[in-house]
Amino acid sequence: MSIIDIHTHPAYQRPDGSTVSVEDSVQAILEQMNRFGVEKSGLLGHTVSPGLTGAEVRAVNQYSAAMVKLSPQRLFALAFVNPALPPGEVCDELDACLEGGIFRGIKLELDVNCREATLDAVMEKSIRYQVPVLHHAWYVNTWSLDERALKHQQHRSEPHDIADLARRFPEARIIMAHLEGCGVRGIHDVAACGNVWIDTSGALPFSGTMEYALELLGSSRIVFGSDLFGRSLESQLARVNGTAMSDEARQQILHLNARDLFKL
Amino acid sequence: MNIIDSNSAFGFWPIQRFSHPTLESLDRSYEAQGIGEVWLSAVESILYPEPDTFDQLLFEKLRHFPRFRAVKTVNPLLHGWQGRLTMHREKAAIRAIKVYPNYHGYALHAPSADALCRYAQEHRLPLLLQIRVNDERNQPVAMQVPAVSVTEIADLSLRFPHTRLIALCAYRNELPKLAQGSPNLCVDLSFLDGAGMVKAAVEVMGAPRVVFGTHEAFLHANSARQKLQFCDLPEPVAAAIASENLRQAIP
Repeated sequence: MSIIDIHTHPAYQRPDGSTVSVEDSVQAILEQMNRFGVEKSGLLGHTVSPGLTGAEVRAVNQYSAAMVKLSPQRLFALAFVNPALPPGEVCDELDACLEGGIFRGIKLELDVNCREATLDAVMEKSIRYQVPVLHHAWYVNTWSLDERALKHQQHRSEPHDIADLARRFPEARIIMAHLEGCGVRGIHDVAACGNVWIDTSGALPFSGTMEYALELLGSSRIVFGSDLFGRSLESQLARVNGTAMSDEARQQILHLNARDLFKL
Repeated sequence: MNIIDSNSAFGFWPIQRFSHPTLESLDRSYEAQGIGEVWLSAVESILYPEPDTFDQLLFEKLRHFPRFRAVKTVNPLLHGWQGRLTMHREKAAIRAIKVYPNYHGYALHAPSADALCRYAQEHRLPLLLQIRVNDERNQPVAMQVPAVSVTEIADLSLRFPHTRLIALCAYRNELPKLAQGSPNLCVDLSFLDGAGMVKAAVEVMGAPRVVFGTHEAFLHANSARQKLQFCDLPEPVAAAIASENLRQAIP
């Protein structure tokens, strides 16, 4: 079965802090994809921490675009933006990205809680360009975080926030990232929002959560993502392949839903 | 390749639904993955006030499954645990001892931890030390259990360098600290994640100190199996991780 992985980050930085070239990043991801039968991967950019400047956001997207240009049959990109930046700057970046064929979606991270009105312009762009928005979400235990991680998380969005966003923009298609981090409560939060999908990425492949999502949402609203290179395809595919489901459901999750969402 | 799973459990856990409701189903899953020996403990023994009741129930069923080897959970705060453990060892072939210091409430610099190590060493039983059973970020409000300190694990291993300690469910950022422990302190694969992570673990710990472990039933076992399959290590090193390092830990 050919697989589409909608949630990857490039191997942008080596352990010694040096930057990986675009060519080497493409080679690294293609090696992983070939090994595990992944046909196409969505690049979300090398976003490490919130609060990137406009120039840094552009650099992230330029890196993603350069990777896609080297392997356009295997890679596609999502435009990363920081909605805390001035709206004009955010919209200009989205226009610049989405008018070509390289970027097929929008990625939002931890910069702004998605109940904020500052997200409106981003969502309107997603509707205008008919591309999905992949939004980070997690019910994270703040006690388990150190001071630095807590600061990173201060504007985070939780699944109930994603549900609010989906209700405000019913024409938009939203992918809520990180099934395991959202958990059973998160699945319930978005169950009634037919314009929300959940991606399987993030955390180790704990049993049970995928089964619950299948029962409550159905296989048509679950999309495979790995969170490579922070996670491995070994562990993330185990979440799907270790869960009992029909071949049709597995094909929807691993391939068909992503193909339809991103028009691949 | 012979594969031994050092980190497996079966039973009921109130905050997670497991994939395999029966031992038959679990056995079939291991068969399909080519994992020939599984060190299995009772999940209920983590939370139940004493571990013997559910351990005994599980061990009786294991007689029908040669793949599964009994792992005895021990809470060293319970008076007379050594005597009861010896009694269990006389009734069943106990492959290893498993402990949960963060669930049972003792530090690894406490006398009870020393007594555990002494017992394990005297009876040549591997001591499986569970750092965590789940992801701290996702624990429910009513059951928030911090991980066992890897510094304390390394210190314990240095105090008892002849006890075979296996730290289960370590994250990659915890490996450097664990590597400072005794040569008899190993880690399992279950919580190591990211591309090339097995190779990286071997670089940090050394090949003799990495063992195969899935953390079934909490995790899908296929995750660790695939990590081993695609570890990009020479065959003898992969074989050592798969089973040989564990073979050397048992009598």
